[in-house]
Amino acid sequence: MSRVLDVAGLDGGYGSVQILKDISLHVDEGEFVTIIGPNGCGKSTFIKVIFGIATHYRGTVKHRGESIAGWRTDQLVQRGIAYVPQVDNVFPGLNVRENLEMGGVRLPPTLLEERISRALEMFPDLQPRLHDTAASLSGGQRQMLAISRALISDPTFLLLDEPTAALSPLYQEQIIERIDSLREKGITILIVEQNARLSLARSDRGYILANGEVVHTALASEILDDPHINEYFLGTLHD
Amino acid sequence: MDTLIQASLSGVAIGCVYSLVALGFVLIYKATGVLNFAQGELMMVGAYIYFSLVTSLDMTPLLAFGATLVLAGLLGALVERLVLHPLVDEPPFTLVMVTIGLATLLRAVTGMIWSHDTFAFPSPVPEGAVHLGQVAVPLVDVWTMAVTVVLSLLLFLFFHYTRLGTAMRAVAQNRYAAQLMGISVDRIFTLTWALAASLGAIGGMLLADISFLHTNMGFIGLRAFPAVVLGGMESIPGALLGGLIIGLIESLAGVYLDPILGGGTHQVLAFVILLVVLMLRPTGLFGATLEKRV
Repeated sequence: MSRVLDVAGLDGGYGSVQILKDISLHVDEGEFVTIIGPNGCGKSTFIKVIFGIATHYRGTVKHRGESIAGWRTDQLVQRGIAYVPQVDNVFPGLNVRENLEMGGVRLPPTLLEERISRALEMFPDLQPRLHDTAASLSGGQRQMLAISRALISDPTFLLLDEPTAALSPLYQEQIIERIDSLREKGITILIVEQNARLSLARSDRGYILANGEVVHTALASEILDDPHINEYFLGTLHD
Repeated sequence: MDTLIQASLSGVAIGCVYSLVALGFVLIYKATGVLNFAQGELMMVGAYIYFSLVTSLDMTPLLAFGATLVLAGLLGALVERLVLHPLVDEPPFTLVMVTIGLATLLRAVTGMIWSHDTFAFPSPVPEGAVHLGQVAVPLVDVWTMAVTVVLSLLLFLFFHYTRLGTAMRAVAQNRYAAQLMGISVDRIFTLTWALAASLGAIGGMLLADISFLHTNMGFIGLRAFPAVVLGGMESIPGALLGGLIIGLIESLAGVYLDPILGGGTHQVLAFVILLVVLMLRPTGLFGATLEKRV
């Protein structure tokens, strides 16, 4: 199994404010990996450092064996990496179709059409809303739009930052299920989630971050079954 | 009644020029957050370029018009790359001061090249007028209105039916998301400045045609700023309508208020409107903010 992401000894943050300390983490081909942890532990910052949005201080970040630390976001997109942020992830004044077009702004028209059709097959809820502005969509539909737009660039590695945040339970289930189904299309998934139980149930492995450090890593099933982790990190989500 | 119609049509013609300059302001502000106080000077330089291409290089009006758009666009792109790009993310006050400095520089350099004399503009439009009853509309005014209408239509098509135009709108709405999509935000900034400078150049050619060619014509372009505020800072239709309203009010004030309140009233009225709009409706006519879910 080849290694899609290999991070070792990563320090990062925002400007001079360090958030991440000595993070080591990997994601293999076809895996679904979830990063969990309390608010402010650095989960989102980690994804942002990988995607070149937050500051990388030290450590290696390799994608398929090649260092990508410090790469521009457009270079990462061309390399097959896509990122769906938690907020501000759509263009509110553009309609759904225009939003999708922006996901493949450099593609030839026929290929772009093909990719849009494929994305709409995956998220059929968007089909009847094609000519509505993104601002008029519900939170769940917006998240679907953000994910489907990321798919237009045909990524092989997808980074998602809390895709189910602030969604109804029905949409949470749907979104996680659709994300999981992306693996059948050869997409490797790294997800940061507050709603850890739902995401871990679909994941292969999980990492737990606290105070900017990896404090534990294990198979997702082991994390879900660990009573101590349940108490400290998943406790609020107990039925 | 004829005086009213005559003044109104003149106002619409000058309003069209304000609209085009205002459009340049709005495009740059919307996309990059920079309030470009050199937009009037970009307009002025455009008019001088056309002037030289026709009078010194003997180009045909159509060829000179096209070449002016390209050269003005290049100037706009160059200004963005050399002056504004290194200052991206600087505080708004810094950027405003830089554009004011840029305006002074452009005026000075234009004066050094072409002198500060006033020139008659080599109009591509024949002299004469269209007569509507007792009202005579100069052909140059008809030309100005026609160019503005065609240009507005082309811009609408560009922004809504081309990928580049949509990308420009996307960057204007959410620079961060655009970057994540692999859209080169830097390139969009440069193209926006190029487009704004080309629009300014068209405004400059039209303004010089209905008035004069002088290094101070940039100050007249600055009168488009109240149009921008009236229209709503980030609204393209607002800029177009704001320009027309300001032009119309100025023209009518010139006819009806100047004789009562003294000459020059019409020149300050635009700025009075600016103050009133800022006090009563700071978002302007079309400045409604987009709904933001949290």
